[in-house]
Amino acid sequence: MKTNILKYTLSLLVLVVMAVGCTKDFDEINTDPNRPKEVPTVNLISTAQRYLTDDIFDEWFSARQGLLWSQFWAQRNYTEEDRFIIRQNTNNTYWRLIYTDMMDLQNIINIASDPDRRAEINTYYGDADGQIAVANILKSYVFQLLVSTYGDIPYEEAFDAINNPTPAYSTQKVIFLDLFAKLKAAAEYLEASETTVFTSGDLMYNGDPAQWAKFANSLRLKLAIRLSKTTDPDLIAARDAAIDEASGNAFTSNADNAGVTYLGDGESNSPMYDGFYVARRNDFTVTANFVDLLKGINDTLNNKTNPFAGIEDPRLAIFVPKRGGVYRGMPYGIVNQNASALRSVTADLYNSQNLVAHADATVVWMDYAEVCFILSELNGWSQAHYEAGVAASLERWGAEGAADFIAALPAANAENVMTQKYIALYMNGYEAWAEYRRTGFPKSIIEIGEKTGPLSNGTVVTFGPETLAGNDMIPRRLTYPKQEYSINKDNVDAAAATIGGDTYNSKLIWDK
Amino acid sequence: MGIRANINDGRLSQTNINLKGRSHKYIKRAKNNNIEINFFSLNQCLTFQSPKTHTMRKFAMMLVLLIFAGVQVVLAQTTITGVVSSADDGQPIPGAAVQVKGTTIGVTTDVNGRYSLRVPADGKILEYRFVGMTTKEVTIGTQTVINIVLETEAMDIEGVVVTALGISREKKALGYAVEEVKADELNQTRSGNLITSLSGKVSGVNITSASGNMGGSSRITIRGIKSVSGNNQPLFVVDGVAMDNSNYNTTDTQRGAGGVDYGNMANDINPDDIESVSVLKGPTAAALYGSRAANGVILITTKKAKAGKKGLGVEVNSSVSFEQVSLLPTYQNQYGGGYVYTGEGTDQGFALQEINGVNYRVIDYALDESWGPKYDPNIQTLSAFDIFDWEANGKQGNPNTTPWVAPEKDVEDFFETGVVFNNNFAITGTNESSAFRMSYTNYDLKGYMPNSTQNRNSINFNGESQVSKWVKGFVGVNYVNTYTLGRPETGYDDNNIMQKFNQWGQRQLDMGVMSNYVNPDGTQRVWNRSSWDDPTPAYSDNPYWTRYRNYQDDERNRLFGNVGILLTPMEGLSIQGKWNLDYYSLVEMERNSMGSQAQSSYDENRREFMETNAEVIATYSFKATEALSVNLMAGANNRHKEYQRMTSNTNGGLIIPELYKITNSINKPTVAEYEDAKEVQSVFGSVNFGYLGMLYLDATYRSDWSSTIKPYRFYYPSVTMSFVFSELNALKDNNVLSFGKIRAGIAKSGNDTDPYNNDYYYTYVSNFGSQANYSISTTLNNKDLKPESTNSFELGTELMFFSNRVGLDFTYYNESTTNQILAVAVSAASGYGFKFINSGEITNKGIEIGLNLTPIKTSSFSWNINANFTKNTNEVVDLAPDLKVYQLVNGPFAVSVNAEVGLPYGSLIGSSYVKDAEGNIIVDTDGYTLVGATKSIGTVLPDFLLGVWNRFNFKGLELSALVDYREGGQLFSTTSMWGRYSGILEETAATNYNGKNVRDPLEDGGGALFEGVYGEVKDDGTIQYLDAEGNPSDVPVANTTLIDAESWGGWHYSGPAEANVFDATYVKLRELRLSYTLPSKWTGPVQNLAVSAFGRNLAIWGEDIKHIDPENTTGSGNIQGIEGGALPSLRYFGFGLNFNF
Repeated sequence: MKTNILKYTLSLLVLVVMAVGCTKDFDEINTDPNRPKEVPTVNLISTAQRYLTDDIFDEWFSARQGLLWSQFWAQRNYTEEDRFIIRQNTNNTYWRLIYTDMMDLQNIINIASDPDRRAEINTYYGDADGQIAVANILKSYVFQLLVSTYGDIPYEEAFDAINNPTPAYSTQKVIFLDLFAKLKAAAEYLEASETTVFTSGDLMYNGDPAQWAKFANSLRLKLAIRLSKTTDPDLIAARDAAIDEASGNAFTSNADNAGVTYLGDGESNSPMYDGFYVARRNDFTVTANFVDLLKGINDTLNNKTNPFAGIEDPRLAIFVPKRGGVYRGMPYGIVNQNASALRSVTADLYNSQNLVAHADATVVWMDYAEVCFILSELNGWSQAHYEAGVAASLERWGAEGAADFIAALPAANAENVMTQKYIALYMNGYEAWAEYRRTGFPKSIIEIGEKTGPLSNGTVVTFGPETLAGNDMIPRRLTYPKQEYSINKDNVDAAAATIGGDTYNSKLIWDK
Repeated sequence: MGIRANINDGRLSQTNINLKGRSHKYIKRAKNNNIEINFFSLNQCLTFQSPKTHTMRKFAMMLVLLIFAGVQVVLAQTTITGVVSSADDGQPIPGAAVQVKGTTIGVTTDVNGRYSLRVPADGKILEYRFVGMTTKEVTIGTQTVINIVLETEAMDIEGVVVTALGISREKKALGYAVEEVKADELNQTRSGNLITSLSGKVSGVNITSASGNMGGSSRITIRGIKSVSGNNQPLFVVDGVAMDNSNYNTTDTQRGAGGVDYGNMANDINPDDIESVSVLKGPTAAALYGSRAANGVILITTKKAKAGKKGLGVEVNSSVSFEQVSLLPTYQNQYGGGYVYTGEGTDQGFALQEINGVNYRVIDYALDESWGPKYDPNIQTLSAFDIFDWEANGKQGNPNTTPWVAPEKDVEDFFETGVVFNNNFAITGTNESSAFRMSYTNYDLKGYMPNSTQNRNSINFNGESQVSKWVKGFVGVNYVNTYTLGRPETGYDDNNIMQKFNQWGQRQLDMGVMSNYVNPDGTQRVWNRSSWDDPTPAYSDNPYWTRYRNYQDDERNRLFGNVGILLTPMEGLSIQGKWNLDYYSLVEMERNSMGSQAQSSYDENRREFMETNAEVIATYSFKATEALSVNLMAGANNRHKEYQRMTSNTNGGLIIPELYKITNSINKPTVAEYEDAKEVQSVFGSVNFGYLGMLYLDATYRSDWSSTIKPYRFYYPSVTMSFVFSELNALKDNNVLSFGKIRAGIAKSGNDTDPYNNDYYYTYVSNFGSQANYSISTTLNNKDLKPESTNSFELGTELMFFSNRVGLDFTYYNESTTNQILAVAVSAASGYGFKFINSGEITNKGIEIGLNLTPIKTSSFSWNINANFTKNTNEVVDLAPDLKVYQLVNGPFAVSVNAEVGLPYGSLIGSSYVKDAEGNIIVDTDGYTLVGATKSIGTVLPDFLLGVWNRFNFKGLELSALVDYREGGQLFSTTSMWGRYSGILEETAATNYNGKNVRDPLEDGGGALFEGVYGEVKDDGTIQYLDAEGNPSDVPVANTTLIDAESWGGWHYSGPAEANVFDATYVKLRELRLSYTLPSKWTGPVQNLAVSAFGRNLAIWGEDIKHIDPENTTGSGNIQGIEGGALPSLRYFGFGLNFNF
C-alpha cells in the first residue's frame, strides 16, 4: 500500500514536471508585443527630421547656447550661460541626442542598402537610392554643425555600436573631405532622379528629389565658405570643386529653404513654443546690442560704428516686441542681480508670442538668404547677391519695405555683407557664432573686456566671466562633453591633443 | 495552541504523536537518552517547538528517563494528585511532566491529564512542564490536590524557523543565517509599513525610508548591492505567494529631479496580519528560489487559526498616532526676497514704482531668491498681495502697503499635525478539523501636508480544513484597497513646495497671508508675480495653491493569496499542490490646475500586474539508521507574469477648468500603451541529513528556465552544513556554554532580466500629424544575455552562554556577483546611448553580529538587550573591458551616481575640491575654492549599521527603545546648494570672523569665507601654497579673504560640487514604546488587554547636514544619494489598545 502511494505520487510529480517543463512558447512570450522589429523608412525620416530640428533649435541647445553666444539673445535671469558658465549636463545631452537622432538616418541607409528590403521600398515607399542620398544630406548638415561646434568628432567609426561602442575621433579635415564627397554624390544622384524619394514622411521637401539636390548643393557652399581661409591643398581642391559645381544649383528662392514647419497641434509644436509656453521658461529676450544693430544705433559704449547707422531694419518689429512703447534689449552678459533689475523693461518674447515662438513656426535649417550671402562672398562681395540676400531675408520674415531698405544700405563689402548675413541668421545661433569666429563680424558682438549696459541704475560694466573657466574671448568651440571622458576616454583624449587642448579657446581649422 | 503527546504505552511511539490542534507532518525520533522532535512542516504554519537549548535538552532527557525508567521509586511521604489542563481550551494535557523541584522525582500525566505523585518530606515545590507551554512552579504547602492550568508559551519559539519555500526547520539544523522577527517586535509602533518596521531590528539588512513622504518608498537591501543595474531588492513572499515589489517611480523621481513617489508595492503587506517575518539573508538560505534568490528573501507568515480548538476568538488592535514635522532647514531670518537695488529710482534697496502719483517700494516679485533688503518694520513695501487686494478692488484708489519684516507665520506653520487611525479586528473560528481567521484592518491617515490623506482597507482570510485523514485543503486570500490623495511631490520639482521653501523663494512670505491663495475672480494669488503689473506666476505657485489645486491621487486594488491541497498518504510523505496569485491594478492621477505657473494638465497612469505560480512539492522523511535522519524534497513550479500599462496625458492644456479627464484636452491627448509577459519554469529538490542531532548537511538544487534569457536553462545549487558542537559529550552540562554551533555554506543564485532585452526593436515616439514617428531604441539590446550569477560563501556561529542569558550570532559572508547585466552607456557617437552587456563583478564581504543579552531576569523584572551590527564591504571589482565607470544616473545638477571600478557601488562623481596632502581645501587668493578634477566625491553606501534595542519588563509594564545608528556614506544635497545660492539658508546671513553679518559690505568687514588655505595647482599637478598676496609660501596659509555673500552662495553651484556633499551618518531614536498588559484577573473574559504609548523617529543625533534628514530616499531602486528637495522629516507618536477574547 505504502509503496503504491509512493509510486503514484512520484508518477504524478513526473507528470507535473513534464507539464510545466515546456519552453516551446518562450520565443512567443519573449517577443515584444509593443514594438515592431522592422519599420518602413518613411516612418524613420519624419522622426529624424523632427527630432533633429527639436534638439538643435530648442530652448536648451539653441536658447541657452547658440543664440546666447551669437548674442542674438540674452537671459533675463540666471545668466550663467551668457557668461559661458556652461551646464555640462546640457552638453552631454546635446551630444547624445544629436548622435542618436542621426541613428535613424543611419538606419534608413542600412535598410535601403539591404538587398532584401530595397524592393519593398521601391514598390511602396519611394526610391531606395534616393533615400540613401537624402539621409546622407541630413547627416552632412548635422555633421557640419558638430564639426564647427566641437572640432574633431567621431565620424568614420560612428554608428556601429555592436562592434565599436567607443568610436575614434576623425579629424576635421577628414570629415570635411568626406562631407564634400557625400554631398556631391547625393546632389548628382538626386539631380538626375525624377522619382519621389519618400512617398510620405519627408517633412522638408515632401520627397521632391530636385529640392533635395538644391539643399545638397547649398550645403556644399556652406562647407566651402566655412573653409574660406584654409591652406590645406586637399581641402582647397575639394572646396573649389564644390563651389564650381554647386554655385549655380543651390537654393534660388525661399521656397527652397530647408526647414520643418510644425503643426502647432500640441503633439507637434515648435520647440521654442514648447520651451516658452509649455515648459514656461520665459527667461530669454533679445540683446541690447542686437536691438541697437537693428535700430541703426552706434555702440557708444565701445565706440563701435554701426555699418547701417541711421537705418532702421524692417525686421526690428518682427524680431523684437515693444515694451513700454519702445524696442529695448537686454545688455548682454551681466550678472543675475543686474539682469533681474532689468527684466521688466526688456522685450518680452513670452507675452507677445513672438513669431519665432509660434506653435506652428517653421524652423529653418538653412535658407536662401544664407546662400545669397555665401555667393556674395565667393564673388568678391558681390552687390547683387548681397541685395538678393537681404531681400530674401526680409521676404522670409515677412518684413515690409524691402526696396527702400536695400536702397538705403551701404554697398557690399566684407563687414556689410557679413553683418547682413548675421541679421539674416537670426534664430540660427550656431551658424552665426561660427561665422563670427571665421570672420570677426558683426562688430556689434561684445567681446570679453568690452563694455555692456547700461544697467537699471544707468551704470555700465565690463563684460567678462568672473573667475571661471579661463575664457578670455568668446568661446571658439564647445568643449567635449564630460561623458565622453568617462566612456570614450582614450579617443577623446587623443582628439583633445590633436586640436590643441579641449578648451573653449582652441581654434578650429577654419577659425580666423 | 495545544501540542499533546499521546503516550499510551509508556514510551514514545515511532509512529504517531497526536498533535492536537495541528495537522502537520513531523518526524519524531528517540535516541539514546535524548529526545528530539524534528518538525518538518511544508506550509507556512510554524510555531512548533523543539528542544534546543540546554535547559530544554535537560528537560527532554529527563522526560525520556521518566518514560523509559518508569516512575522512580523513592521514599515518599505525601501523595499529591491533580489534573494538568491547558489554558487555551481547558482540555486536560496528557504526558505533561510533574516533577519535584531539585530532584529527579516525577511522573507524567495520563490521557486524562491526571497525575499522582509521591513527594518526599523535603520536597517543597512542584514543577509542571509541557512542550510549548510555560513551566509552572507551585509550592506544595499543605495541599494534596493540585490542579494546574498551563499557559501556551508565547509564539516566540526560537527553535523552529520558516525557511525557503515555507518549510519550517529546526534552527539548529540550518547551515546559514536566518533571522526571524515576530509580530509583537515588528509592529511596536504601528507604522503601517512592513519595511519601515524592520529598521534596526535585523543584522545584515540596510533599510532607508523616506520620512515625510506619505506612503513613499522604503528601500531594503540585504548583504549589500549585488547587481549593478538590476534589481537589488529582496524577494517578498507572503505565505508562499511571491509578492511583487515593483517601484514605478520615474527616473526623475529617483534621481531627485522631481516627481511623485508612489512607494513600492510591498507597502501593501499589512503588518497587522503578520505572524512573523523570516529574513533569508543570502543565496545560501535562498538558493531554492533560484533566479530570484540573489538578494535574499523576506518570508512573511500571516496569522492563522489552528484547527482543534472549538470556538470563536476575537482580536482587536487599535491605535491612533500623530505625525509632526520634526526637521526643517534652519533659515536666515534677517533679509527678505529680491536683490538690494541702489541708484536712481530706488529707495532703501527697493525699486520704486509710481502708482496714482504715489511712489511705492516694490519687491522683486519675479525673483525667487532672498538677497533682498534687511528687514526693518519702518519700511513699508508694496507686497504682491497688496497689489492683488488692490486689483480685486478694481484698482480703486491706492494699494495698501506692508511692513518689511520677518514672517509671523513661517514655513513650519504651513504644516499640520497628521493623524493616523489604525484599527484591526480579527475573528477566528475553529473546530476539530477546520479553522479560519478573518481580519479587517483600516489604516486612515490624514497627513501633515495640507490636503493629504491615505486610506487603506485590508481584508485577510485564511482557512484550512482536514477533509479526510490524509487530505487537507487550505486557502488564503488577501484584498487590499489603498486610496491616497495629495502625496507630496518630491525632489527638484515645481510642485514640491519644499523646493520653493528651501531652494527658490523669498523669506518674508507669511503663511497667514499666503493661505488666502485665490482671488475673487478665481485666479491665483501668488507672491511670485511676473512683475508689479503682471500677475502671472513667474516661477512658483503659491504653496497652498500647489497643495489644494495641483494635487494627485491614486488608488490601488490588490488581491493575493493561494489555494492548495496537502496530502499525507503515509508516514513521512507529504505532497502539496498550490496555486498562488498576486494581482493588482493601480491608477495614478496627476493634475496641474489652470492658473498655475505650469500649463494646466491632467495625467493618468493605469497599471495592471499579475503573477501566478503553480507549485507542487513532495517531501519524504525517514530514518536511514538509528542515528541518521533524511529528508528528501522535490518540486516544480511554473511562474507566469503579465504586466500592462496605459499612460495618457492631456496636451496643450485643459479646456474646462477643474475638469480632470483626458478628453478635456486642448490638443489631441497623448496615449501610450505597454505590456509585457514573462514565464519561468523550475524544478527543484533538496536532501537533508541529520546525524545524532549534532551534524546536519543540506544540499539543494534548482533549475530555472526563463523566457527572457536564451538558452533558457540555468541552475542554482547550494550545500550547507551545521555542527552543534555543544552536543559533544565533552561540552555537555557545562555551566558556561549552553549552546554552540558552527555553520558553513556555499551557494549559487541568480538574477535574470526583464522581457525583451535580447532582440532589436523600433519604438513608437510620436505622431507628426498623420505621420507616425518610429525610432530605433537608444539602448542596444543583446541577443546573448545571460542571468547574473551570485556565488556566495558564508560561515557562522551561534553561541549561548549562562543558561541563554547571553546569545551571540556571528556570520561572515563573501559573495561575488558576476555576469552583470549592464546597460552600459556607450559613446553616443556609436548611435546608441546604452548597450546591454554581460560583464563585470561586484563583491560583498561582510559580517553580521547579533547579540542578545539578558542582564537581569527575575520573576517580575527583566531587561533584555538585542543588538545587531552590520558591516558590508562592497566593491565594484570589474565592469567591462575599458569601462571604469558605469553611470546609474546623472543628477539634475552637479553629480552623477555611478558604479566605479575599485570603489563601493554608488560613487557620487562630481567636481572636487583641490586638497593638499593634509586634506586642506585649496583656495585662490580671491577667496574662492579651486575646482578640482571630476571624480568620486562620495559613496552612498554606509560603513556600518548598528541597531540596539533595550526592553524592560516589569509585571506587564514594558518599556522598549530602539536606537538605529548608521555610520558613513554620503549624499549630495540640492537643498544645500540652491538654499545657499538663493540666500535662504541660515549660513547666508551668518556672522563672520569680524563679527559682521556676511551680507554686510566687504569694506565694512562683511563677507563670507571659504575655509581653506591659499594655493594654486602647478603645471605638474602639484600644489603650490600661497600667501594672501599670492606669493609662494612653504607653509599653508589659512584663507582669510572674505567674499560677498551672494558670490559665496553662488559658488556652491558654480564651484566644486563637493561643497554640497555631506556625510549621511546618523543616530536615531527609532522606536520608543511603553505598554502595559492588564492582569487577566481584572479584565474578565477579555484577555491580553494592553495599552501602549509609542513614538517613532523621536530624535536624531550626529548628522553632518543640519538642514535635512540624511536618511533620504525617493525610490526603492538603485538610484540613491541625490537629495533633490527633501521633504521634512517627521516624528510620530501615538497610543494603542489591543485585546482578545
